[in-house]
Amino acid sequence: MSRLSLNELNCCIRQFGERQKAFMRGENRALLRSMLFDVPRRSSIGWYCYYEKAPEFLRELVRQVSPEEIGRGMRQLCSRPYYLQLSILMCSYFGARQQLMLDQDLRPGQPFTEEKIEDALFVVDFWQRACRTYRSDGLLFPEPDKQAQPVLPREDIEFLNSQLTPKTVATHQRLRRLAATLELYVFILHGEQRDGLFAHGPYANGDGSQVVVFEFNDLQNEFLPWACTEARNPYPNLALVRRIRGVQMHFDMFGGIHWNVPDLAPHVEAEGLFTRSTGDRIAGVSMDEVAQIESCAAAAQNELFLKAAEWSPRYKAEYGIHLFANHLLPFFDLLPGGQDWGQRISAEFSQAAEGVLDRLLAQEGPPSIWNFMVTTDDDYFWPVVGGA
Amino acid sequence: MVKIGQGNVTSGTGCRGALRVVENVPDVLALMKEDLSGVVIFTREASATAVAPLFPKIRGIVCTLGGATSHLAIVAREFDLACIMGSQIDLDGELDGCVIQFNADGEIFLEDR
Repeated sequence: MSRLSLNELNCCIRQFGERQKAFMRGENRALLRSMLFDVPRRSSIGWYCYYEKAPEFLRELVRQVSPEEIGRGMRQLCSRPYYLQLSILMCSYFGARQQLMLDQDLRPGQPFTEEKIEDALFVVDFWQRACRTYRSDGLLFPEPDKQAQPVLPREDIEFLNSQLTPKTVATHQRLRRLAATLELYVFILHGEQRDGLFAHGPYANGDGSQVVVFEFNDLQNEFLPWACTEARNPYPNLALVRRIRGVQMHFDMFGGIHWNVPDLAPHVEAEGLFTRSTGDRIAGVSMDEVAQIESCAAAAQNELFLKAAEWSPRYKAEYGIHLFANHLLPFFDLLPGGQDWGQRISAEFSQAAEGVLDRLLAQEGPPSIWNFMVTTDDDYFWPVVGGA
Repeated sequence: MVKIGQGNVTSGTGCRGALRVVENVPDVLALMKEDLSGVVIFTREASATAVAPLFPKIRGIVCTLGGATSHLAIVAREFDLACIMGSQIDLDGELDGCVIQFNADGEIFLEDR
C-alpha cells in the first residue's frame, strides 16, 4: 500500500469530517431516534467494531485484490458493496476514534496516546484509492459544484437508457409505490440505517435529459440474524431507472438524493425497472411483476417490524454488531469463493464488542459523541498528531 | 379554526384529518388494527421504521423533528403522503383525536377537538 504523509492523512480526515458534519447537521441526523431501535448505541457499537477489526480484515483483503480493483469491481448496476460502504468505513473508524478521544477529555491538537497511526493511514488510503476508481469522475465525494454521483460505465447507461419506456401516469404511480415499499423494507431490514438504497447519476444524454438510477440492494439478505422472513423478495436487487428533464439534483455521501422540485413526476420522461442477475447481466423486470414484488416487500417488512418490536433493550443496541458486519462483508464477496468470511467477521466483531456494549448500555443517555456532533464548532474528527 | 403550529412541508400540499399520536410500539400495533384512511399521525421521531406498517394506510404525517432529508420524510414523499416535519405545536391538552389541517405553507390549524 502506498503511504500517505501525515498532512495528506489529516487533510482527508478533515475533508471527510466536514462533509459528514454538513450532512448530519442538515438532516439533524445526530438527533435521530427510533422507538424500535437504539440508534445512537447501535451505531457507536458498530463503529467500535470497525475501529478494532476492519483494518485487519481489509489488510487481508488487499493481499488478494487492490483497492483500485475493488473500486473497478463496484462499477456495475446494483453493486454491493456500493458507495455507502466506503463512507461507512471512514465514518465508523474515525467516529469510534473520536469517541475514544472524547472519553479521555482531549482537545483538538492534543496527542491521542492510543492512536493507531498505521491503521488510520491504511483506512484512508484504502478509502480514497477505491473511491477514485469507483466513481466515474475520480473524485472522493459528490462535490457541491458538480452535484453528481456517477458510478456506472457509459455503455451500461446507454443500454439502460435504450430500454426505458415512456412514462405513463399509471406506470409511474405503480413504480413509485413499489419504490416506497422497497425503501421501507430496506429501512427496517437495516434497523433504520440507510443501507440498501443508492441513488446515482445524473448521467447526461446530451439532449438536456439525464438518467438517474435508484437502486435497492440487499433484498435477499441471509447474513443478518433477523433477515429471514416467510415472505421473501423475488429479486436480490432492483434498480428503478428514470430519464428526467429540468431537475437539479443533489447527491449525498451516504447514497441519498434530493431534488429542487416538489414533485419529480412531471419531469420524468421515461422509466424502467431492472435487476442485475447472476452472471452480472442487466435484465429488465416486467411491469407485470411489480404487484407481486411490492406485495412480498410489504409482507416481509411487516414481519421484520413485528420481530423488531419484540427485541430486548439490549438487542436494540447489540444488533449494531451485525449491522456493521453486514457493511464489511460485501467487500469479501468480491473474492473468489471458499472462506466463510461472514462467520469470521461476525465472530471478531462480537468479540470486539464484549464489554463495550455493556458499558454503553450502563451509561445514562447516548454516547457523548452524539451530543458532540450536534453541538461542536470543532472538526468532527480531530487530526492525527505526531509522527507517521 | 385556530392556528396551533408551524412546520416545513416536505411532501404534498397539506391535508386534513384526525390526529393520532404515536409515541411507542403499542400505539403502532393498536393503530394497525384500525381504519386509518382519515388519519394523520403525529410523531416526535423522524424515523421511518417506527411507523412503517402505517404508511400505506394513513392520510398524512406531522412530525416535530427533522426535515426533508429525514427518513420519515423520504418515505412519506414516496408514498405520496402529505408530510410536515420540524413542527412546533402550541396546544394545551391532549392532541390525540383532534381534527387538524395543515397547508402548503406549513401552517397547522386545529379544527375541532
